[in-house]
Amino acid sequence: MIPESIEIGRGLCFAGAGLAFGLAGSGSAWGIAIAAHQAAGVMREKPELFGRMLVMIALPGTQGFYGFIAAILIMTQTGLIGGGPLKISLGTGIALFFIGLGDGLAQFISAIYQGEASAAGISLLARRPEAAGKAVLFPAFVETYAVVALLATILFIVFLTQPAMLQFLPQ
Amino acid sequence: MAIEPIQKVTLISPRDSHERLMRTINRLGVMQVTDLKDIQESGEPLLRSCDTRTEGVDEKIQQIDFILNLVNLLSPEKQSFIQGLAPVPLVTSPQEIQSVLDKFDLKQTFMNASDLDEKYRSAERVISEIENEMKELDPLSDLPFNMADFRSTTKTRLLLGTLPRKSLGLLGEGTELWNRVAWEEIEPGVTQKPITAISREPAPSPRTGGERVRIVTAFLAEDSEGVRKDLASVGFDEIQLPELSVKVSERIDELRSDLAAYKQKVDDVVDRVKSLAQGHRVGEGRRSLLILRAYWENMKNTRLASAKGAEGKWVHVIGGYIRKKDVERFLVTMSEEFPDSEATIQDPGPDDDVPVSITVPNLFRPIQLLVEMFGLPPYKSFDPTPFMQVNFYLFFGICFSDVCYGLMLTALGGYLAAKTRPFQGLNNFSRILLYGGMSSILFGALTGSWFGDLYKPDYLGKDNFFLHLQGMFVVIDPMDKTVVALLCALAIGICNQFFGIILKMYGALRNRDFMGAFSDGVCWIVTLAGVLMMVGKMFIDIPAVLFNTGFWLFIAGAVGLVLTQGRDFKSPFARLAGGLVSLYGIMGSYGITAFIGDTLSYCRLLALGLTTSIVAMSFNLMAGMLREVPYVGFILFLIVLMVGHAFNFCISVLGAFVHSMRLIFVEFFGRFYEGGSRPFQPLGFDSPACIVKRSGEPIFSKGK
Repeated sequence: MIPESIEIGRGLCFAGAGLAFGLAGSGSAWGIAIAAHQAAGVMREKPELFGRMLVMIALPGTQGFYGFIAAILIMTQTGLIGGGPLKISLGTGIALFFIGLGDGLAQFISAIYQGEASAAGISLLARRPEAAGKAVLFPAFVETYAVVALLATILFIVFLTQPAMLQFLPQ
Repeated sequence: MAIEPIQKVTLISPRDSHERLMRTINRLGVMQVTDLKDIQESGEPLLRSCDTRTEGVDEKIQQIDFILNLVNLLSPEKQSFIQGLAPVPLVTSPQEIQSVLDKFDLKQTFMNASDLDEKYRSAERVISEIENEMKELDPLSDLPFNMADFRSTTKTRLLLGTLPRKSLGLLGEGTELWNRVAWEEIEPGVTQKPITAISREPAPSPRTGGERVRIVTAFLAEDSEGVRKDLASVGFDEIQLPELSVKVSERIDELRSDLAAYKQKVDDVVDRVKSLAQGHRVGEGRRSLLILRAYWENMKNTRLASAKGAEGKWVHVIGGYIRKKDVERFLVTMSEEFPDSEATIQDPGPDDDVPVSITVPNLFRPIQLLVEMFGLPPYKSFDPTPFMQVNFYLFFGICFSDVCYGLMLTALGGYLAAKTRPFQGLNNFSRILLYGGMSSILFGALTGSWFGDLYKPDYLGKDNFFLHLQGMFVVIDPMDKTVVALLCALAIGICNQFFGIILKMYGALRNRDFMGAFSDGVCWIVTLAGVLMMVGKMFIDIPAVLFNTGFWLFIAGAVGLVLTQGRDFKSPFARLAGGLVSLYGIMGSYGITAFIGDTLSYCRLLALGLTTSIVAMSFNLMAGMLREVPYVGFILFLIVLMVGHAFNFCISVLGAFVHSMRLIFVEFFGRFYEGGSRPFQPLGFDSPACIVKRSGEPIFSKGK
């Protein structure tokens, strides 16, 4: 019989995983749309810049993957995928929920703003194609915080789900 | 492997030969012509600015652009996705250019193109008008009567229009006026009926959208105002009937026939434009146009370059820059072809804005692309390309650390490098992928990532070959030892920061700025080394002597920084305050906060490396689950693996390239490098759109 608190803990941690990839994926879609709108406008006049713009359109898409990584890590480390069901305390569940939420929010907001930075970079590229290198830097600056959030999330998940923190249920 | 020495050249020639001289300079392609500001601003009375005319050339370029626009509109060139991603310049030869100039009749082609354009536009205009009319007539196509018969008489009026179906029952309810009005719903496809036949429960009318129905009303002219008012009150919209003498359906048939005829005209124009684009062989016409455009653009540039000089009554003077290695060839050509001209070669002065050309051995050339993207170094500075050969590929390899992805990237990079040999920009990029792929193989093997964890027995069975290889090479698994891997990433960052400071010192020593080398180099290295020794105590148990050494190093370095960083201020107090503030990192060349921030930024190496592996593992996991499906499980397993890994490969390459570039541009270049110098661009034919290959000379374009 699984105590109710463990059920709640497990539910919370999977809800956190859902929020992580849901928010990150939404933000990426939003950010890519912002950059793609700008690129479509430039393409009307300068189709030869497609290759260089493609990088900047794709950049906000990486946050979706960062969210996906956080969600998969939560699912694998807590045994939902590829392992037995784990006993997750209410405290660990709450922690993982907020880790997923925090990561999702960081990815969501950074993806949107990275889309705007990409759009600005695309405008620069349209006027000065030789400045392609600097134009890619603008969105890369924004992504720094998505990367840092991902790293913190990975560390949290890995250390929160060490065997000492979680107890395996007898199979 | 350096910034090429550049010399300043001034060329004086007789006025009557200066056009030929400019053509020769263009042919040689070794001299960048610049404004003769010195002479123009000196107020020299015997020399004045050149007056050049480019109207004739501009007209030719406009004609070619007009033809090319028409060709691209009606007969666009089919390009593969890869060609669309990276357009390459057209490669031609002097013989082909001459042949095109001799054979291509631009004037006649332009007249033909203008004629075709006029025909196309007028046909398109008529087609648009016909389609609009058909669109307007379409809702009326089932009207059963001749339009000529539908007209009001002196005493009566007819109205056709639509109103909401629910309003039908309200028409003329209880009014005497409506006893003198006849109306009827016109149902789609209904043949003629007596107009007095009133249907109070009309059938649904799909042609009117279900919501609104068409009705025709007949009333006396004297009742017109009242009827119209009543109709308006129930939402009646009058349909303005076209002035036709035939049925609407008959008019639509006429329009259809006209439309087909005009579309045929457009097709004829398109066929003629296609043959214009094709020429005698496939694509020859378009190619000739592109070559002609490049030729006339080059002519224009030559004339504009000529105008940058100055002229007197008898002489023409131009100035510019030339690479030292080309000086001899340039002077020999000038003395042979223009014995009356005089060329002066001198070293550039300290205030000259010298254009920069960098040269590196072929092996190191790919990284030159990054330097060009960021901006070239100042002429008196040094080329950073040789110092980025290890760290960029190191970063790329760690971010993209997977043996199998690395193999795929190496193969892709090698293939692209072989295919893009004539195009320097693309070739450099391809070779970055090639070398980056090799680095990824190395770091993938060290971190034990082979398509993520595909080597595991769960996927490929026990004792599989990959499992054996993985175990043989793996040194650290970042998933197991995340903190150790993070510390490794930060250690790489610290090394790279120190490397940047050493390069700053090197730059200062080159310029004989010994104080700068001491203050911005030695002092920072001593201070930061001391800080690291002290901080190390927080993580590992270091001997007290090491900690104390670190402490004194920090004190010594900090004192040196406080005393020297504010050296640009005059007041002693301001110097001291400036030094203290610089130590923190608000101003000056560096700062402890900047060091910490920059070093922490290298944690992205771990994050991106983990991203590559974890996403790969996720696809393996998904594929592994599908293998349990009966009969088709193994096929599904393979499909998910292939699609998933191809996707992860693309997204991870992008991340690895962009973030490695960022670490170089921001964290590394920030320590010592300032770009932004203008590139050396000699006057010549080559452009991003077209390059010329001379016999016996390998083609190597700077175009992307």
